[in-house]
Amino acid sequence: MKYITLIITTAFIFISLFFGLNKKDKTLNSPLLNKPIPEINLDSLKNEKLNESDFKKEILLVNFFASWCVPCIVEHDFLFELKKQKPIKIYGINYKDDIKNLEIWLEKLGNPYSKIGIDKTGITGINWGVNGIPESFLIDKNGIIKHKINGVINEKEIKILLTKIEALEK
Amino acid sequence: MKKFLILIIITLFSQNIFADEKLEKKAREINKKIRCVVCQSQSIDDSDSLLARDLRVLIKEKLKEGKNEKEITDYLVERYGEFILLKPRFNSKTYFLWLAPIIILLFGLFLIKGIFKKN
Repeated sequence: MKYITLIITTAFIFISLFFGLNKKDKTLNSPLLNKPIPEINLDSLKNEKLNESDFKKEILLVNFFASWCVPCIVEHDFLFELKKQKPIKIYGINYKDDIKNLEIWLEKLGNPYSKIGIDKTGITGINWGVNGIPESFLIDKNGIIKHKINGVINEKEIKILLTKIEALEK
Repeated sequence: MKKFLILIIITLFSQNIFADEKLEKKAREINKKIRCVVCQSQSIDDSDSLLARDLRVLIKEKLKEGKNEKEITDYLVERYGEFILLKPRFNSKTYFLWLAPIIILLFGLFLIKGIFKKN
């Protein structure tokens, strides 16, 4: 009887550690969630600008990608699929890429983006707290970040995105 | 006159070198405290990842702009969270992390004391 407390406490610590360390989702929530979009002022692919003024009045998705990023190829089809299911604007932020390679890439795979900002130095990526690409941010009508996807947008993520977009539209 | 001019040039040049060295030293000091979020168990000073390289450049740029260590770490924490610091700061979000070992230790001591008392 006297050891029961000790056994229960030890078991509790081990069970907590087991479940804590075996967590499948090891990504941390971005501290930028529910905050206004960070600074952005980029040249876009068609000699325009991509800046804060582009983030007003509508729900949109910001997708960090590059032509050298293999998972981005997988994701590309899903971006078209998302647009098919919900025609929202997707802004692409081309992360540390070669423009010529990007143009070839878009010609080959198609262009799901309404605008593409060129982040040559990677500073915009750091400003947005990007760990690695692809990464995407769902932005509401007021320019607030509502959801972040670390990694590839796939079928499962599209479902989550559609639910979130629906909730934001209400 | 010529010698005097050379002396001035050398003095200015060496001042620049020392300022650069000081800045480099400070940058490395900060780099050692910042976690590489890609490799996670390394500081950006040790990591060769693309992001670590960009962060090192950014830290140097911010120092050149006259920002201090706190301003730079605040900027990074705002974007990546406390996780980016290899040694998280003590605040409302991290207090449990810092206090948990002490709480567990005290709990253990009381438990052992209780068992010995019963015996």
